[in-house]
Amino acid sequence: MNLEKRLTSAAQELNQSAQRTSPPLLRTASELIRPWLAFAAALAVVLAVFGIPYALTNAGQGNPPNSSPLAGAESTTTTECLAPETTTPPEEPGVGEEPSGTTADCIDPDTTIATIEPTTTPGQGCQAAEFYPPTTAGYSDDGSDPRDLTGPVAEKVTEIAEAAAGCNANSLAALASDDITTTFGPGSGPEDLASWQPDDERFAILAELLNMNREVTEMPDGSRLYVWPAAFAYDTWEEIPTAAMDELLRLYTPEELNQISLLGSYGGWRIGITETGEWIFFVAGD
Amino acid sequence: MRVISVNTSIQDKRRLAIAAAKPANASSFDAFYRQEYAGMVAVASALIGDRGRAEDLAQESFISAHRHWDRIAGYDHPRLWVRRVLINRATSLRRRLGSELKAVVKVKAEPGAGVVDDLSPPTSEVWDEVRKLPRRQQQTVVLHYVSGLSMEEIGETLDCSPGTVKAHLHRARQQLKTTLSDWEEDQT
Repeated sequence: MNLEKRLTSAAQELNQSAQRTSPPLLRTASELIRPWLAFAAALAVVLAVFGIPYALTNAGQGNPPNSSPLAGAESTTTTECLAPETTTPPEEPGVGEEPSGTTADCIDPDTTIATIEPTTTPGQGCQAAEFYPPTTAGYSDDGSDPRDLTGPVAEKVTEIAEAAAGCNANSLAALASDDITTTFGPGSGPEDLASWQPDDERFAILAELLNMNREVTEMPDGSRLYVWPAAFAYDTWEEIPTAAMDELLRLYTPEELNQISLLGSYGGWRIGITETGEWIFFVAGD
Repeated sequence: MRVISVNTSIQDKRRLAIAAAKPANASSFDAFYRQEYAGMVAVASALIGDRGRAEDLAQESFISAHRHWDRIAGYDHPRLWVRRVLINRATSLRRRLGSELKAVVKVKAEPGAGVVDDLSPPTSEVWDEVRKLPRRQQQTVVLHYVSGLSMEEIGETLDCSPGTVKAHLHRARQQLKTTLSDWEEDQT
């Protein structure tokens, strides 16, 4: 029996075997909540009878709890909120480091771009102005960390960061690869970048992303690809280190991150630059 | 680390907005659940090798889909979405259990115990060999043969390009050709 037939037959048998298991009753939320509603109703009656008089007599003696899920949220609380079932994976060295210093900190010594020399200033309505002059997050540049930027990548990052922070759409378009993916719908490409108006929020998102930590991952041909944010490099949501997860709160609310987590891995805003310095995607994801 | 595809198939916000506008209801979920359940169990069984855990994974994935059915029902391919959830959960489970799972599978694979007890020995052998492949190759083989998905659909499920899917499938077949033919020769 050749391989194709063997695999097809094995799949057929597996499917037939699975067909014999009938789908169990999947208890929906309303079904699960019904007994709890009855319990809550009973509890409410008890509280109405005994609790209210007690509460009235003790009114004003305590401080109201902070009810906002966002206000004052500590990172540990946030992590619990985002992924209650997650077992925290071991921290990867460097991933949790706070972005610090200037771009010069993370640029390969060989590169000709050592510092960012602002050449433009943000235009009117530019929401990314707060990122000007730009800095980019990085890792110690002793050559031991694969996430250290190589010359062409460092150069491209610097240029993109400056164009984004200055809300300069034409500069961004010129920096992009000809077949850059900017959206999975129609209209993807450098022309899309060139069409952004100065008040487009994507400038700020792009600048913010480049201020976050990156990771190095692999292209299908085995070459290296630098991605921002670091969370995008992980196969599953559970693998994302806490620090990389916390960083995402610069782009999303905890509720939005909960939605993204349903995909099983990070699929939100991201940038990818190849090891040769080709900027190949900047997309919103879903 | 994931191998990144530029042509990753995660939908953009525009598509989501369109999806959100489509109607969805509980009865459509019931139909979806009944229609897809067995296929999901088959995929999970092939990846995990344990029917009990496979059923748990399938149910967890459907619960996830049910929780957000209003949105997911509007997607072009809810079956791909739920398979992606399943595959990610299977990956997490295997990582989490690690050697513990291997031990369980080993014990259960003893004659008479049966991991998926109603499969014939040749079929069990195929899936045992598939599970020895690199993770992405396993997933590609399972989605292609068990779920009958096209390269594009697998790419959408695994978030990689059809070209990458083809490469994984090719490498998997090359490997299986060696290991399974060895098996056949051993048996004859």
